[in-house]
Amino acid sequence: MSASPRQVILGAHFPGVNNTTVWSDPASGSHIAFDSFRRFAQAAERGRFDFLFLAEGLRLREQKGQIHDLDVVGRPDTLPVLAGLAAVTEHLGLAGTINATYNEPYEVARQFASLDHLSAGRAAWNVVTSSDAFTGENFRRGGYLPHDQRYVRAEEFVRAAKTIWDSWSGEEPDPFEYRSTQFSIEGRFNLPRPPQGHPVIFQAGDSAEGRDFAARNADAIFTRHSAGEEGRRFYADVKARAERYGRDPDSLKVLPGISFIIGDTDQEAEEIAAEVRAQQVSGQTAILILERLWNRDLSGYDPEGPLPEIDPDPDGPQLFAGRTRQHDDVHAEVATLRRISAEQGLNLRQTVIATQARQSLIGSPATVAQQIIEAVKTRVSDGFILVPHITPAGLDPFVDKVVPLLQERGALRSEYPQGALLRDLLGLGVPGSPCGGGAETGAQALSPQVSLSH
Amino acid sequence: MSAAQAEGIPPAQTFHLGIGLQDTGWHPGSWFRIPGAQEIFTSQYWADLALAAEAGGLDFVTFEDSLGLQRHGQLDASLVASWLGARTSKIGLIPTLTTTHTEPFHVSKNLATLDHISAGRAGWQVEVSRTEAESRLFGRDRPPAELLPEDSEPWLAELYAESEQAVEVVRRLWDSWEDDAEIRDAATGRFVDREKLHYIDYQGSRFSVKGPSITPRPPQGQPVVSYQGTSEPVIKAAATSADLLFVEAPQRSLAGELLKTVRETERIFGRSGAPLQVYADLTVLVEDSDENAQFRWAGLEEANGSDWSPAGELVAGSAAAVADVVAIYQDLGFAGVRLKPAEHARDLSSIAELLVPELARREIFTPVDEPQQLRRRLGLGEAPNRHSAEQKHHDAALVGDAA
Ligand SMILES: Cc1cc2nc3c(=O)[nH]c(=O)nc-3n(C[C@H](O)[C@H](O)[C@H](O)COP(=O)(O)O)c2cc1C
Repeated sequence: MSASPRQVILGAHFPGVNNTTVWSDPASGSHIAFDSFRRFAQAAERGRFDFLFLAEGLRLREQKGQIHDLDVVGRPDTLPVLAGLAAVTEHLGLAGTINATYNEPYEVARQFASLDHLSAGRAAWNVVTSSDAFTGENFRRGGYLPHDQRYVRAEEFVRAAKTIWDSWSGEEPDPFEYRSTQFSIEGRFNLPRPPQGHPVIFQAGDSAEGRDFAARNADAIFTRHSAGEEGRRFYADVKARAERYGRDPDSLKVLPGISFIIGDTDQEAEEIAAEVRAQQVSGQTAILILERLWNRDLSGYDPEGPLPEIDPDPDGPQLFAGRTRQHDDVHAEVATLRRISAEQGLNLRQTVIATQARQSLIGSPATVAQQIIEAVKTRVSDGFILVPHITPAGLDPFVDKVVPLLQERGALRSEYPQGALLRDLLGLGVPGSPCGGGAETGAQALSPQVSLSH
Repeated sequence: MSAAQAEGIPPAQTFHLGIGLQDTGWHPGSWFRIPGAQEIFTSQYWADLALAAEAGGLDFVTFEDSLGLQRHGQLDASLVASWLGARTSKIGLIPTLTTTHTEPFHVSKNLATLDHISAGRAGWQVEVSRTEAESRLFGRDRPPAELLPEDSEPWLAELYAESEQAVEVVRRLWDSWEDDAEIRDAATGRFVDREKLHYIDYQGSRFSVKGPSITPRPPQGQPVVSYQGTSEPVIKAAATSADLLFVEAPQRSLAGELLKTVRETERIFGRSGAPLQVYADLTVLVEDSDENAQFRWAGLEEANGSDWSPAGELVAGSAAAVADVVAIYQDLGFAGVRLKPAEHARDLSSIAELLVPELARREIFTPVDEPQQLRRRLGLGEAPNRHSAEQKHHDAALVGDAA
C-alpha cells in the first residue's frame, strides 16, 4: 500500500466576467441572483472544497470608449454575497477580492472581521492592487498610484489591517496606531479579534513586486501559471521568496486558477472541450482578443480570414480599460500566433481558439484526478482554484465524478473536521495572539528589501 | 381587486411596525444580563432576533451601526443584514451605513446586493460619523477646527449635506442599469444592451462618481432610504432624499409639532412624489402584566447601576398598555412606530407574542404573513427608473404641462 499523496487544496471560482464564462449555453443561469451563488457554494461544500472564491472589478470594462458587452457584465458586491453564503454553508471557506487602492484599511479590516465572526472563522481576503485613472473615476480618491506605489500601499494596508485585528484580543479593545508612508491612523476597533486571528490573505499579481508582496504578507497566491515547467518555475520562485523573508515556504500556498472539461472518456472530453472553446470564442470575441493584444482597432478584419498583417501597437494610447494586463511581450506573442497560424493553416478565429482558450484540465474523471494529484506531487502547485464555464452548475461534474476519485486516492478529505477554521483546512497556522501594544510604524514594518519610491 | 381600488381610491393608509436593534437592547442594563459578552458577535445571536421579529409579522428591523466604538462593539450591520437576507424570507432589513468616511460607490452596490440576496427587502438607514475619533480611524482631519465642537450645528449641517450628496449618488447608481439591460442576445453575441447602462457623471463638492454601477439594478429598483433624528439638518436631508424618517419625540405633546415641521420642510424644499413616512421611535418593555413589566424594568436599572431614560417616549407595561400608546401615535398621523426593545433577549419574543396580537386585535396593525418587497409592504409604490423610456416620456409630459 502506498502512502497518501500530498493533500490537494481546492477552491471554486464563481464564473467571472470574461469569455471563459459561457452565458449563451441553455444551462447558463443568472450571474446575479443569490440562488446561483447558493447553489455554487453548496456544490463546492458537497465536494469538500476548501473555499469559494469571488473576483471583483470596480468599473465595468470598456473597449474603444464603450462598455464591453460580449461577456457577462455586472456582479453583486463581494462581501455581502459572502456574508449571505456564510448563512447557507457550514464549512466552506469564503474568499473575496477587495482592492487595496480604492478602500481604507479600517473599513476593510472591520468588514473582514465581521465576515470572519459571522462565518465562525471562514473568511479570506484576496488583496488586489489594480489601479488606474479609469477605475479611480468611481471614487473619492479619484487618482491612482504608479505600479510600485500600489504595492507599497497594499503592503501597508495589510499591515494596518493586522494591527487593527490584533488590537482587541483581551476583554476590551486597546488603542491602536499605525503610521506609514500611506496611512496615519489610530483609534479603537469595535470588534474582537476574528476567530482566525487574521482572515486568510490571498494575493493575485504576477510582477516581481507582486510576488514579493505575497512572499511577505500572504497565505496563498492565486496565479495564472498552472501547468508544467512554467508552473513549477513560478512555484519555486515564490516559495524561494518566502524563504528569503524568513518564512516556512509551506506557509505560502500556490494556487493556480484552472479551467476544466470532464467527459466519460478522454476522447469525449476532448470533443466537449472543442465545442466549449467554440462557444467561448465567437468571431467577435476572437477579434476583440486580438484587439487587446494588438492594442488596435481590428474591427475591419474577417474572423474567418487570416491574421491581421499590421503590427501591434502596445505603446499607443490604451484602447482597453478595466482589465488585468495579460501579456509581457506583445511582439513575441504576436510572432507565436503567426507561426501557429501558418504551421497549422488556421484562420484568425481558429488561431485564437487554438492559442488563447485551451482549457487546462481535459479528460475522463480518472485522467483529471491523476493530473491534479501529479501537479501537486511534482510541485507545480499546492492545489487549484477551479474556474467552471457554466453558472451555477459548472462545478457539478467535477464534484460528482472527480472528487470521489481524489478522496479514494487520499488526496482530499472525505469529511470536514468539525468546527475547522479555513486556516485549519488549508494547513496554515493561526497567527499568535499579539503581545504588547498594537502600535506599529511603517518604517519598522517594511523590511529593508523594499525600496520606497517617493 | 376591491371596490375601492376599482374606483381608484387609494386603500386606507396602513400603519407599520418596525423594530430597532442595537447590541443587547436599548436599556444599557441589558448588557449585563446576557450569558456572554461575545454573544453579540455571532450570527446565531442576530438570527434569533430577526427570526423572532419575522415570526411576529413585523414589517422590518433596523440595525444600528457606527464605524467607531460605541457601547460594546458591533458587527458591520450591512453584512449582518446580508447574512440574514439569506436566512429570512419576509421581514425588511434596514442596516445603518454611514456616509462620512465611506465611498458612495461601495455603499450603493452593498445595498443593491442586500436587495438581491433578500429578494427586495433591503433598506438603508443613513448615518454620519461626526466624531474626531472616527476621522482618525481614517487618518482624516475632520471636523475642521472652525466647525468644532463635534456636535456644533454647522458641522452637523455639513455632514448631512454631504450625506444628501451620497444618497443622490447611490440612487443614481441604482438606476444606472435599466431593469432589462441584460439581454443575452445570442444572435448578436451581446450579453447586455449597452444603451441601457448609464454613466451617472456625478460632480459634487465632496466627490465625483462616473458610474455605471458594477451591480445590476436591485429588485426594488430603489431600496428604502431612511434617516433618524429631529435636528434641522436631518429633517432637511430626509425631506429631500429619503422615504422614511425615524423621530424620537421628547414629549408626546411635541410629536404633532414635529410632524408639522416635517411637512413644512418638505414644502420649502419642494419634495416631489410621496410624502416622507414619519415613524415615532418608542422604547418598549413588554410583559404579560404591568407589574411584571415594572419588575423587569427595575431589574434593568439595578443591573445598570443607575437610572436610564431614552430621549423619546418610553413604555414599560402590559401589551395593552403599550398598544394604547401605539394607538395615540397612529391618531397623531404617524406612518408607524419603530419599537426599540429595552432588552432584546426578552422583548423580541414578548413583542411578537403579546404586543402584535394585541395590535392586530385592535386592527391597528396587520402582521406580515407572506414574502413581499419592502417598498410594497410599506406602500411606497413602484420606483420607476429615471432612464426608462416610459419614465422619460412621463417627465416630458410633465414639462409639457408646465409650459
Ligand atoms: C489570477 C489573477 C486574478 C486576478 N484577479 C483580480 C480581480 O479579481 N480583481 C482585480 O481587481 N484584480 C485582479 N488581478 C490583478 C492583480 O491584483 C494585480 O493588480 C495585477 O495582476 C497587477 O499586478 P502585477 O503587476 O503584480 O501582476 C488578478 C491577477 C491575477 C494574476
